[in-house]
Amino acid sequence: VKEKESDALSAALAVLSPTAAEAVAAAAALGGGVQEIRLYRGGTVMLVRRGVTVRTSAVCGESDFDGTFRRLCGNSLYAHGDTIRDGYIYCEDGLRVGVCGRAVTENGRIVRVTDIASLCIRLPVRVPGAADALLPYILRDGAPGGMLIWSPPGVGKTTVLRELAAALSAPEHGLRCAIVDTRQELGWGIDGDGIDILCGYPRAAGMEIAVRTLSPQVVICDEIFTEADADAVLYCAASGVSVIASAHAACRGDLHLRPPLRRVIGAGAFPALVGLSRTADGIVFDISEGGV
Amino acid sequence: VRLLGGGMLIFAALALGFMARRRAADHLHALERALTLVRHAKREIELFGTPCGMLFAHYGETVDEAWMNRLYAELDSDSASIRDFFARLGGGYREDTLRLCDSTIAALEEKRRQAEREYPARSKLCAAMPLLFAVSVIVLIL
Repeated sequence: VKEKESDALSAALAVLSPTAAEAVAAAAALGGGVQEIRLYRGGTVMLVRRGVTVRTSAVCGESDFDGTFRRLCGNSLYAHGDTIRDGYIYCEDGLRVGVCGRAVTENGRIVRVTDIASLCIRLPVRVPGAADALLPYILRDGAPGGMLIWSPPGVGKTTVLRELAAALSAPEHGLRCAIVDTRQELGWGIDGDGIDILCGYPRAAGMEIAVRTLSPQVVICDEIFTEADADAVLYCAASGVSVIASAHAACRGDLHLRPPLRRVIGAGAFPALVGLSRTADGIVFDISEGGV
Repeated sequence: VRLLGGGMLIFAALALGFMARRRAADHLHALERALTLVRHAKREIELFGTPCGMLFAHYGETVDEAWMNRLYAELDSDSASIRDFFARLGGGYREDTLRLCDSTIAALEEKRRQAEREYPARSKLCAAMPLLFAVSVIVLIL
């Protein structure tokens, strides 16, 4: 695991300009824990370490920024157009890069993003055992149950989902898990038996395909957001397949403000709701019953 | 000695003519190869969104720097469009890149048509000119 994380950091350092790489490497050497590297065209290079934003002394000039963006795209912008329209670039070694620029729209649809102004390079992490405390709430009735994990962005939902997938499919529990990895981030670092990773599939389509063709016991996916996602969750639940998913929310009440989430929680697709918050000691779980 | 000299001149002229014809044929062949290369790149980008580094992984030939340099040398003055293609490849979104492929293919096809039209005449000229020059020199010497 540490080797893979180190590879991801090395991959990030390899795409940065020498000055930015030096600053990030120095920060990583000081106890590690680098979660994000944030670059702004002509601005200061920033890091997020254990949830805290840190400004470095390095500046990312125009040419450095363009060079980094080009390298992140593997010198092939055309190969990343679809994901850039969705706001990110997926790179080998598990890096996921948030992309911010000027959107060109056509009939309300983003057709391309130009004038890229900032990049947020997210480093994937594996924290084996981080989700073990949640396992009893998933396995409490003898069969796996659903769970919705909520928190604001950047707290660790994806990491917890990843660890749940690894734990549930481990020989100890031996569940057949399907990960719908729309943004090619969730399945990073997992290569166990019993896990089907649907890489790059749209969320709703991936969930339906998994249920129809892979006979999973648990479907795991990130960021339930749209009505189509909610339909797919209900389809899984109605097919006897538990869904473990995440959603953005600041508090439990926020979940009910969004109709798709209100619908799936109300239908009982998620018997357990888990809020995440980050403290100095790590991630804290706030576990509650889902509504029916 | 004069006869021997004359024979050597004619032999050299024939060899020169053969080489010039060969170069014209190579040029035509190089245009074909450049066209095949760009069409392959377009297909990979259009169907699979293959990144630049992997575009020619399944090409059948190893397309490396030496291969490209040979192609540029054989294309000679016609290498500008394909050099420009590779310089700009990867810098645009899919639609722009496919348009770049199309315009490069169109430019190379035009050059190939022109080369095909000129090839028979050029081929005869390449054979005749050195020979005529050699015969003229021989007549002057003898």
